[in-house]
Amino acid sequence: MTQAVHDIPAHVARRAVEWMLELQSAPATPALRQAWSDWRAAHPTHEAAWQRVESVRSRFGGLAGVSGAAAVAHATLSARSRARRRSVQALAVLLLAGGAAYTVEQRTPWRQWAADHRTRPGEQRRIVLADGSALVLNTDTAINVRFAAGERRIVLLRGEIFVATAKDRGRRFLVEMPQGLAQALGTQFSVYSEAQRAVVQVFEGAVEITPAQAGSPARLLRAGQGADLSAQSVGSPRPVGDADRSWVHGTLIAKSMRLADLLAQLSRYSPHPLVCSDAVAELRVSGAYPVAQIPLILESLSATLQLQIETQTRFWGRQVVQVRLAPRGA
Amino acid sequence: MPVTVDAAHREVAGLYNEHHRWLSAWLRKRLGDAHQAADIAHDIFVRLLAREEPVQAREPRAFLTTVAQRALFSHYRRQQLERAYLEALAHCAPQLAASPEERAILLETLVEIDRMLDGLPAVVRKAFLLSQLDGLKQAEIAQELGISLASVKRHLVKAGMHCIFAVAP
Repeated sequence: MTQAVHDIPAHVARRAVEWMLELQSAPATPALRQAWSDWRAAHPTHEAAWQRVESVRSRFGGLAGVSGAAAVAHATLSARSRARRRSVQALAVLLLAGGAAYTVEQRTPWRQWAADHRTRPGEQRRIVLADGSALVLNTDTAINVRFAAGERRIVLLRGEIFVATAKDRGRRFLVEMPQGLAQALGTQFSVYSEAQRAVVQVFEGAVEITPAQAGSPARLLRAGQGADLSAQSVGSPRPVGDADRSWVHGTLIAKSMRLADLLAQLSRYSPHPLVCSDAVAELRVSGAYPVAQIPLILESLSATLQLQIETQTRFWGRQVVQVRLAPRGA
Repeated sequence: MPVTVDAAHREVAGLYNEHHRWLSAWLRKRLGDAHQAADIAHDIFVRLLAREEPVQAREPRAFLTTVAQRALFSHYRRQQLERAYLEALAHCAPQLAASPEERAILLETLVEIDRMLDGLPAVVRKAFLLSQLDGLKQAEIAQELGISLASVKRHLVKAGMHCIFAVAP
């Protein structure tokens, strides 16, 4: 999360702003667009600076072009520091009015907020740990890394990780989640944890799983096995295969999957829910879907299944509520 | 299941145990409201917990006072914005943002923009808002503010760079 914004040199930031102003000032010619994309590609800091520009622009995105919003914004933002003294009553009124905003800010639990490594919905990240073990964080995931003399411990706060452990005789490799503990025995495996349950899948070697509740029996999973896990118990092993770790390479593989189930899976990679109408929920789909390209997947599903895409927004398009697939003409 | 608490968190826990009551009292004296003081104190410790570097303050209370002053300032600023916002809503665009949730999101957006522009001179800020909010051309901004085209260009670049370095990732 600590993106090194200060690594962007001032002259690069200046150039990025100049590009923004230039592109805003007139309809861009193909030559200008080409020059702009060449500049972005020329150096990683250029692209990084441009991403900051986009991020600045997005702050204004919801306000621009909406009648009334700009006037309100000007009036609000030009409020200068007047008297700082406030009567208690005035504070009470303002706090009531601002109550909703305040709860929005407080929703993020601090443990996830303060996590060592995090991904946002739709983002995946690869990490090599100090011991050489490799981790892949799937969408919307937060972990802490706790290495000590006797053990290597990953605390999975939420989401899903794939682990390929490096050999280290002296130190156990553990993944801790609210539902329990998975100890790797020279291996490749994945762990997914959500509110009530967790899923452990083993692709190489073996993993011993211990539910969080004291006295619950542990279970050993071998390569090709996966199981659900609650704080009390480990479910029966079921077979897992390469399709279950295809997300590590950015792909979701569906074999004759219900459309509703596929959309539920893809929703994890999307900032807003993806749903479909009941009429088409049972349609079966197969394919390898690139999870980083949700809009493309929706386009392709809509084309092959003859569906229409309905995007529900509010706040003048600033926030997408959900995207829904429905029969055409419905 | 207990999560290993690392050194930075333990340090914040220490600050909390020893100085939380004092900090709340300090804030209460300035705000005149115990609940708000408690909220802000809580907020300060949550933010400290999110730091990756240990604080290592030799004078913990001096350190906390500095942090608290900053928190108080943004609290006041936020309230000031909120008040201006409610007035503006009532006067300019009563049809805007009908539901409390919409009002809250719009206000959040404005607070973010305000934070981003914090520290810029008024004219620079105004020029940037006219350009990004209203989509005015540089010549129009020059006319509106009664300054030269070159100044507009300089202000816009200055504001843009300021935002690039201010915006949270």
